Amino acid sequence: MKKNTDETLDHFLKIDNLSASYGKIKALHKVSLNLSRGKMVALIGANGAGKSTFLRCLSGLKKADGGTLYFQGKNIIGYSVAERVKGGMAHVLEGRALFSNLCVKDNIQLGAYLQKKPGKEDMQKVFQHFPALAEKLDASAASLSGGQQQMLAIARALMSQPLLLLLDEPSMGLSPILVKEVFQIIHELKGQGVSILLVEQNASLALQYCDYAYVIENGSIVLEGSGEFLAENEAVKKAYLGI
Amino acid sequence: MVEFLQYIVSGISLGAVYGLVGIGFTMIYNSTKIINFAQGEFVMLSGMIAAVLVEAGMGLLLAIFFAVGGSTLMGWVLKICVSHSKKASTLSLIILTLGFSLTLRGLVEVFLGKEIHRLPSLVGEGTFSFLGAIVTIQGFFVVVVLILVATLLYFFFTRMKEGKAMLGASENADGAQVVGISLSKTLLLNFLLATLSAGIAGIILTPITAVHFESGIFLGLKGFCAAIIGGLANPFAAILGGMALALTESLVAGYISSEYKDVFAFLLLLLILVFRPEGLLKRRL
Repeated sequence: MKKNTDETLDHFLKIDNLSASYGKIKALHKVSLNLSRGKMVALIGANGAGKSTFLRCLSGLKKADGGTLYFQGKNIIGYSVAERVKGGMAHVLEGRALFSNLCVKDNIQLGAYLQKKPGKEDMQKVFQHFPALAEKLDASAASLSGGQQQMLAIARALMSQPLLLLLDEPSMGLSPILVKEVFQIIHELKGQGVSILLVEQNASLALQYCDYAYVIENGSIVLEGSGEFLAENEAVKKAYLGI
Repeated sequence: MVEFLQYIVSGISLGAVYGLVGIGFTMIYNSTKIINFAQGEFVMLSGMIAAVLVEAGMGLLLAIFFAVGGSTLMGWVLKICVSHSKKASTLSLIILTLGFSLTLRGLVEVFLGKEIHRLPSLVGEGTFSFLGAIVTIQGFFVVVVLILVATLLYFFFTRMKEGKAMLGASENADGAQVVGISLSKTLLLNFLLATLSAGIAGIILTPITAVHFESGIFLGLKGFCAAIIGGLANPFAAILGGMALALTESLVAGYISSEYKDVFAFLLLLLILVFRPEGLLKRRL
């Protein structure tokens, strides 16, 4: 483990020059990004720009080729996925990655797999955000609607009591009403102090909710700024907002 | 009627053995998507170790402990081989299990000999009558052991965190990892449980049929058929598959000829593969 420095301690999440590749194809090229505690940062970009790969490098599912990844002052680049979960990171994957044949209750309880003794209170806390899930505890995850599955994926992640939530395309495949509902819950979580790194193709929604945003193209950050700033940027408007 | 019942009783105790071997196939398949063709060798290994140790003068219970332990230990070795071949294709891994199977058979032949070995009965040699059919105590014991193993496995998978984690990891590896489940640990547990059940099968089967270094070929084949007939997605389906296979064999042997029992057993397998390729029980646990 590298020694903490004053500079890295200042940042809740500080990523510098992160690179990753699939064989000979470079997926990420020296990506740098910062996130302060309790804030929501969005990463927007087109399909295949490297957004999901970036989140996978953060949670440890994908090994980075190089760069540093400071989380709460520690460089966690060599840490396993489990160690990152223990450290307070939770990743909600694109496509939800639920245990479809297990029931809702088992899915949620497995979210607290690394907790020594997850109490009923932890589950009750999660159900405050997702009351619909509390009524379907014995239903299989596969039998839930798309919106409920997305909520279950977030609920499962919350069971590890994360400090940082990595959300990959939470609006994917959902109706506009459900998207609004899911984003409202994300907003509530942020209000409770959970820091959020959001990867989203629905750029207008992401920019509306985030404190700060980055635009990624072909594996490199090409633009950054506050949500309002980027929403007014002509290039962003043209490429991602359809204006 | 008594004759029919006799065939059913014989089929059920044989089906219990096929089921126990088949459970191991489904567990390893669900965690790796490979068919472990060494599964039958673990049954043989356990039976051989126990028989040789008892013949050498060791107490039966201690010999059983070493036999099941030895078979499970080899499951751990196979897991290490599979884990070290992460980038290998499914086909390569299946060939790896075939190679492992040949190696185990060869080692047993060299170190434990080519002779046929027997193990004393664990529960006595007697019989009792059930609605006119004769049931051997050993055959009844095999069924009791299967019920016990199946109950423990059911409890493990439905009530315990590690069991649920294994089910979750077999369904969605990424989803399992992001909640902190170690894929390597669940893989190891799958191999250990699969070879443990094979080891137990070896111990309860050897007093009935005897064992030699090539016994694993036949047992592995029958266990594989049981898993395919029942359905690879669910460990308990292998029990159903084992029963279907053994009852077919028993009834054909009784009413037609024992020469045709394997023909009909494999015909059943063929029919299942053609008309219900996911097996009799396609629902996952």
